[in-house]
Amino acid sequence: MPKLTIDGVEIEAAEGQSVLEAALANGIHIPHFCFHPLLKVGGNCRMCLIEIEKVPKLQIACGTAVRDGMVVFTKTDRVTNARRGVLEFMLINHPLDCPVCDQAGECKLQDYCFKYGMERSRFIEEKHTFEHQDLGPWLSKDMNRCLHCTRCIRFMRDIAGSEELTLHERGNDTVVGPYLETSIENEFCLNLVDICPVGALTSKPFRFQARSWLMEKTRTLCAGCSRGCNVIAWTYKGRLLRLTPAENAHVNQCWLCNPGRMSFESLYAKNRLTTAMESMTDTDIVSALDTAAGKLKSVPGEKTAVIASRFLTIEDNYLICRFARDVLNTEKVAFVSGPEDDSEFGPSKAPLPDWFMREDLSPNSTGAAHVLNAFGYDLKPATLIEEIENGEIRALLVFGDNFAASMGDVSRVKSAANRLSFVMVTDSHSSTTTDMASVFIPESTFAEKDGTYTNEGGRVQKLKAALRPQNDCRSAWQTVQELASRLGVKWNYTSASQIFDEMAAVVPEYEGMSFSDIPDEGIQTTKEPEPEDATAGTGDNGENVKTADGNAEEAD
Amino acid sequence: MAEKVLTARFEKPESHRLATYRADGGYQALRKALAMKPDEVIELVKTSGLRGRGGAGFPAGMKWSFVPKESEKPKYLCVNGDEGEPGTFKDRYIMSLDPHAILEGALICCYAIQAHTAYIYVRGEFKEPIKKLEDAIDEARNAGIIGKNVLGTGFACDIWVHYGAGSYICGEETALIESNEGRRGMPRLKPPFPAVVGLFGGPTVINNIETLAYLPHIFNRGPEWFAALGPEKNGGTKLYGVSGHVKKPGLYELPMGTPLREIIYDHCGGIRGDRELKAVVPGGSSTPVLMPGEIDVNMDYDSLMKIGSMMGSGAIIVMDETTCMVHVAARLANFYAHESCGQCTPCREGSKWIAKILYRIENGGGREGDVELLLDLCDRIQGNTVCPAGDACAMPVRAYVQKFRGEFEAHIKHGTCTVGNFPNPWKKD
Repeated sequence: MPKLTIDGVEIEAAEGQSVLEAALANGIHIPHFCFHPLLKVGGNCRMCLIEIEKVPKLQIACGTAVRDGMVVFTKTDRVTNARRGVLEFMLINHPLDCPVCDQAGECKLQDYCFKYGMERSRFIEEKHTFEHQDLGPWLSKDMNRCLHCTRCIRFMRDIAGSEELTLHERGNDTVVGPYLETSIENEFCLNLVDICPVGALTSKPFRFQARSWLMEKTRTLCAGCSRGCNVIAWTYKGRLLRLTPAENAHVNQCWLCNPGRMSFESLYAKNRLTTAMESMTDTDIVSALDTAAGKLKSVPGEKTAVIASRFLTIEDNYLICRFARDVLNTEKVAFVSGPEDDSEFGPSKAPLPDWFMREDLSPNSTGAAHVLNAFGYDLKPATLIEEIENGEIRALLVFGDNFAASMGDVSRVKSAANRLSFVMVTDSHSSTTTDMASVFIPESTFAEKDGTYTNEGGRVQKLKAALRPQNDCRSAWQTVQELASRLGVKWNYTSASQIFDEMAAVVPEYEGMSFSDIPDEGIQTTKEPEPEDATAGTGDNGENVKTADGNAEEAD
Repeated sequence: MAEKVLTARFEKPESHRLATYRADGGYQALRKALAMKPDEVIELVKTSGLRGRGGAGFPAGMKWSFVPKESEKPKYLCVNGDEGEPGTFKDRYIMSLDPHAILEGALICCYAIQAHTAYIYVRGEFKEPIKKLEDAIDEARNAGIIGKNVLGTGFACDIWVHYGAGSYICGEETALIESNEGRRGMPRLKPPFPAVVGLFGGPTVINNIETLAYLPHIFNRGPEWFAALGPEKNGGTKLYGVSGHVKKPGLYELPMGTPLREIIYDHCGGIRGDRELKAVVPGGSSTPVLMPGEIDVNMDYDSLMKIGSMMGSGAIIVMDETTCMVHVAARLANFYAHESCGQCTPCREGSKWIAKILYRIENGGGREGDVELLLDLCDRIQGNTVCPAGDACAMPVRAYVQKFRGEFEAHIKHGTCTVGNFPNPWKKD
């Protein structure tokens, strides 16, 4: 393990690391634009120039491999002059767009100009401007702001495996743009917005909605598929405006696919339901719960079936199972882990890199399975339908799943449901299943609840509410608690954390865990799957390949 | 009169043909080299002290010795025939008038490093030299000199010509490799160096045309002979291409280390119209300009380095008293701005900025502080770029501004050219 000294501080580096990687891993910040821990080295912005003892010229930290005994200086006059030089060169053609640029507040150029005291350049000539180019529905491109760092080009080539962007022209006229197509529309192109250090590439869906510093940030999970990518939910005045990736080396590194990124739009979809209903008519939540409890009393518990859900949290599923066992006394508990329904944001038809969206479009198949297995519930959903049809099941509670569509045969489920004396459904959006409900209780969406999901790889991660639930919306576990209380069983759960800790004692995969101790990256419940190769695509310089194993700095 | 080595055959009729080349003893040096071990070939070239003639002057033998003996990927020789440095016109004559010398040198180098493919990268504008080269390659191939069985020794080597497409930066070795691979001509980060990771990822030597053309002579007449033709560590002859305000511009082969004054006033007959010398560029536009008091320097790598300039390609550009140095600097900066590949910030932005400032000064819009600004920009560019192109812009501009500062300040103060050569529509009062 080579050791090097930076500004008098000795640090240890890993074999093959660059000076920049070693510095960042040890909390020493060397400014940079074109470097990104998961992309091949660019070496073109020249912002990370540093002084190395016994080396006459300044060297780029990102392109210099660490050698044992190296002595590095990052605060000398030469280095400071070089940095100010680079910043000034970047400013001379950069438009004064801050007041109208979405990147403001999260812009590397702004940040470094403040830090190194470069608020204006000495340039009085005519600025170079570029013709506007429309890149399609996702990306807004402003070439005048571009620093030519080539992060976008390298992302498309190295990570997305789809080399769609390149450089045109030469010298000061260099333009970043597509090869032949006129727009960039693949399923992961919004990651370019994250990695562009300035406002040259910004998100069209998000354009102009809020200033970055006015929004509140909540670290939570995307619920779009079983990958369980970590996200940051940005809210402003009670509205969720965008999702950006949060770093998790074990799950999504620092990437997020477009469908997942835009999945928050479902909160505001036309078919969103937020008030309780009886027989498809709005009612107040208390009377709906009373009606439901009354109907449940009139049917023998063991003839009542419960559908748990891979779309709900572990806490939801756990309490649903407890309700089934301790209150209803029924064996008829199932959940669907089958083919996907007609979600608005399903996987694209084009071949996707393996590390993005999963085929399973639910966030918690694995978690739900763990819980139901621990309770010994192994009823197949198909059997459940048969039992409804032959009268063995007389009442049905469906929690958080468009059950009819999940089963793949809507009409059969519909006619089966007609035989039942009572159907209660909880969900966040209207569907063919909610249409069957005599009592409907609205569910909070993923952005409005605390809890945990376990992803396809077996990692349990925390969900944190970014918004308060609207109107009557609540988590399934709260609905279940209300029903239990009306059926004579008083529970006292006040938080997801409490439920998780109790659950961990009885579900073997979570043995010994406690909610408050789950770190941001989550905890592996089962053996971690083989890591996928996050950098596909051929590079040019074989020996210049550097892949970082995640560092402390948030991907910017 | 000094002995001619490279240019000895230039005036012979049909000098480019295989038959005449062979009649003059061509390809015997190759035969000699093929009978040696590759390591011995490298040692011989090291002994000769041959330094690269492209501009950097790096010892050729040492460069070859960096190529690893074993390699998973094939090894290559890239011959740099881009001849992009303004003022340079030596390689085109070797290509047109003695192409077989280049091929023989290339084959010797390939044998030494055990490469089986060589690419001669020639700037696309050189239609006629390319034709001569390709014809020579055909002749050599038909005669069993290039191909699977070079001169019947079992060594395989093929040579191809790759055309450039109008880019100065493709004369830089790693940009040349990128262009040869079919990509944008943008220089690569070093390390890794081409000798280890080069063309298509394999170990690659890049040598200038003139460098390789010396090899047959070195093998025929011995490395010590070659070294003795010039001063210590600067052996051999050099092709000096003299252009500009001299009576007899042209290509002159002279011993390395010939004094600049002798070249200008003896060989080239002095300044046209017997005017006063004002400035001389010693080795191509990227080398810092020299003032009349500095022309007693010997034209070799080390002597020029000592006085703060460079030998470069040996392209001597002579300027007399009618020349406006501000115009020269502006024209030059514009060249570098135009040719910049655009990869790294200082060169992409800085070279264009410098060009804009110089044009503004030349056209009468100069402001106080412009001279200091120019010098500061040169400092911010030099040494901070991916490749030496940034230095190639910064160092000459700094030299013009520093050595002829009075002219720049006069332009700024009066808005007009002191030399009076260029009418000025934006004359300041």
